[in-house]
Amino acid sequence: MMNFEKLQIPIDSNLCERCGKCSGACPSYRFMPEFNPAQIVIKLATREKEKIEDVFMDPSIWFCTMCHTCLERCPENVAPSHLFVEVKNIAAQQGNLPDSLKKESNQIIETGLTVPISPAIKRRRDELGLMEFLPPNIEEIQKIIKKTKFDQLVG
Amino acid sequence: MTKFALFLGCLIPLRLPFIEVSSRRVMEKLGIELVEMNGAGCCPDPIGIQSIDYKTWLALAARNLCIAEEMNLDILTLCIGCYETLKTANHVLNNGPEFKYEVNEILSEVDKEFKGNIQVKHIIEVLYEDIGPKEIENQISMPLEGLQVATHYGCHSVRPSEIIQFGNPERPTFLDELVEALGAQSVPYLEKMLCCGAGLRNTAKEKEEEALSLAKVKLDEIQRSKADCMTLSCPFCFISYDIGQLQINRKFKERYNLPVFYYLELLGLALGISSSRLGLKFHRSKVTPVLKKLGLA
Ligand code: SF4
Ligand code: SF4
Repeated sequence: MMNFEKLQIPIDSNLCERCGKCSGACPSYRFMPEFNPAQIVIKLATREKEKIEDVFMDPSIWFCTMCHTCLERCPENVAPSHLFVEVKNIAAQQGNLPDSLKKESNQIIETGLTVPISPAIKRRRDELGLMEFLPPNIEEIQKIIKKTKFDQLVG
Repeated sequence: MTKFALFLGCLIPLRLPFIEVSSRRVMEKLGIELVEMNGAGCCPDPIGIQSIDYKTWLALAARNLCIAEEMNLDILTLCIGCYETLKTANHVLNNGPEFKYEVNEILSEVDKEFKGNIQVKHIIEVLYEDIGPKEIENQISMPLEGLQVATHYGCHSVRPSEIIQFGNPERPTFLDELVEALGAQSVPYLEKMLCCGAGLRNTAKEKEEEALSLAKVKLDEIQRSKADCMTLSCPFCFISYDIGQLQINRKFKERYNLPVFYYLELLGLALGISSSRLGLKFHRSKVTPVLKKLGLA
């Protein structure tokens, strides 16, 4: 399981026996060979600063769909998909963060939602006989975001 | 009467509201009361936001959980993404005192406190566990006889199994059982557990072609299985195969026209709710061949 303090040392990778099952099960690797889960785990396990930094700057770490098949198949409990969440958290702090995700984050910061409440959708809801969509409590959401400094991270 | 706090999320109410309609009408008919969660926001997104900042993801999810705790009701989600986020956050906060401490410190800014006294369920889980396929079979008035259905589970409906704890993580059967409870037949096909690729749409925009290829693999296999339609229970998967089909046709010069149904829509038809009351005309993949086969169009 994840631990905020542990973020700087991807320690679970040490358990890896290099069986390759995670890559064999990975839907992303199947179509994007530049994203190879086993290879990432192995790089992290070397604990060599340069190789780890390499992983953090690699744009392909964002190609994981988070399907968690690797986690179910890994015989050594490495939990690659969870490990990659830690990796991406660090990558984001170092500036390796896709624009589309910055956009999604800012949408949440502004509205508390990932999809805007458009006039067209209001009409469609009406037509379907649905009640008006209740907007989120944006003040609360923004207070939380301010406290975790998420706005600065994705700004 | 069984009651749940209804967690709508963003994508269903604001892009696919017909899924909300079917879910509400069907649950009402089955005697399940759904109560609105005032002030709830994005779950938030288990793929993007969790990957960017775990702490923010957990704290925003906890705020949503607190709303249901204050209502004293378990949460029912319509989306598998919301399910993953809220169920995982609930699990992590209940099992990790250090997370709970840290998140509650953040939540004190908004006078909330996570207590950990409710459960999070997906609508399919409620249908399967709280009502059950047998009872559904008893309730339906219009069995979907002769309909061949390909089921698509959605990754987060079963994984990570340590947290979800519902069905087998790689060979689940609950959705197939629920389809057969409607008098339809669930057809076996290759690549049944393949991811729909929705995650890539946000985190790797430049990989659109690869994401569509992923969805295409499944469409090919479903076509080979001779299924009349596919069914699923997640708005992200729905978009991958519904609107996705049109994008795939354009990009790869294909001509797929497989009807795609959110499971509650099929259940709605079997309960005798009309296709217009279910809003089926708003699908991009045309459902008429299925309605014709069932004698409804
Ligand atoms: S969770 Fe990510 S790395 Fe693991 S199998 Fe799925 S796409 Fe591949
Ligand atoms: S499945 Fe586990 S042990 Fe095998 S290569 Fe992947 S991380 Fe290493």
